[in-house]
Amino acid sequence: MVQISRYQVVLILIWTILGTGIVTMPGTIAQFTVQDSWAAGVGLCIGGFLCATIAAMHVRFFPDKSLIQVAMQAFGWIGGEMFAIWYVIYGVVTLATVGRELSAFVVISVLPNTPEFFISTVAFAVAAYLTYQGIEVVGRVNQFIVPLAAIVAPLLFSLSVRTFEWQPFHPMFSSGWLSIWQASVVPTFAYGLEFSVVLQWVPALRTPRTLPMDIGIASAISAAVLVILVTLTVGVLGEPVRYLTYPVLEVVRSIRQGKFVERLDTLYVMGVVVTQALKLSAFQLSTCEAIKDMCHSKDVKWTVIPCALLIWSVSNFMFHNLFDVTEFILRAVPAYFLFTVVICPAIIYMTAWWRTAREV
Amino acid sequence: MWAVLWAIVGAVMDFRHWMPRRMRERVAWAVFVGIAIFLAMASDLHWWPQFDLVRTFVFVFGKPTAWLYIGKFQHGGA
Repeated sequence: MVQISRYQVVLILIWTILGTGIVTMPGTIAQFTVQDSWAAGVGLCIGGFLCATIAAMHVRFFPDKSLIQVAMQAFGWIGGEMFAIWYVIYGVVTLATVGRELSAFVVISVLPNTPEFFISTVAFAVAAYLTYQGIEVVGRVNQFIVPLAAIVAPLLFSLSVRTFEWQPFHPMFSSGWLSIWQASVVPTFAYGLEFSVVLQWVPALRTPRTLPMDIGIASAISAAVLVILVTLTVGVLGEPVRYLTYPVLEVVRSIRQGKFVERLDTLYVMGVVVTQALKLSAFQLSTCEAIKDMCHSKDVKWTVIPCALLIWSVSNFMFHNLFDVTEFILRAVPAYFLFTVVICPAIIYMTAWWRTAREV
Repeated sequence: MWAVLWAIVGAVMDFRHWMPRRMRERVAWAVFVGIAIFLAMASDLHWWPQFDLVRTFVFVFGKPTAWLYIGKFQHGGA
């Protein structure tokens, strides 16, 4: 079986979070607080800690099984199948949400005259092809974009810092701890719990024992990048950040150096599209593995086409506009993800462990 | 000539691996594609305009999510 290294796992997890983190998270956080928005970015670490705890339970008792396979062991055929269906629905809905975020972003930022369903078709086709190639290829593509991001991201950061001001952050902690907590709910429970996507790939990890530490490293790096990004966004745009759908895009658009260096948002849009395609492929890998386990199949490749078709269709059916996506993420996703990828797996691992211990 | 072309395309696209083989896989394949086509038609032909999947999710998970927020909140709707 093809396996991936720790480095690839950490990179896949980082880009999975930052794929949407560099687009929607600063704007979502600013809905609740502006001057203390930087503190909400740390919420990613709480989500990462929850996922690392769940992953520690998984690799401690079942280092060679995926989440669905453990569920089959814990609840038997019927119960395991029911959880598999629930998990596949979770994967499809998450993929549909990310896909809709991507197509809406591309339409608003660069292709206003292109139908959104066409953009999502292309995005899902690219993600499906990556998924078809397998987890090792997805890991290598994640490695490939690191040098590009290492050049482009610091360049954009340093160029936009010219208009940065500390004034929007004063007085510190004046918005109150409740506002800071409410601002960190989405980073914690919506994006932070996305680290659990790795639970379906456990058999494909070269060193499953290090998975909790890898999730911890990925969450720390993602949280650091998010805090810097949110701080930069609020420092450059100030209070109006609250009313912008894509504040980071506006920060990049504000860059002007002399007469020739401007409109660097092209670089940013390209980066967002690439990272979101990688995020889609990571989640699709997980969902396809779940479908494979649900059907007790040996091969995963046959699942790619039906899964891609379904997520494309659901993304168009479920979300009528971008407001629906925001509403779904703010009002349903935190509890939905907490139930599906933390509470359910915890019950599954305890039940499977109890059944195994009783048989021995 | 068509057979050669088809063989080349088949080798490049690797069709055999895209297709389900066992009965269980075929059923899952048909169910997924069927739901996808059905939802695409429902979306395009505006079937059940009153039914809103987002509202359904908010109805089911809205209250526990509100607990996570510790109380009511209002967002700007950006």
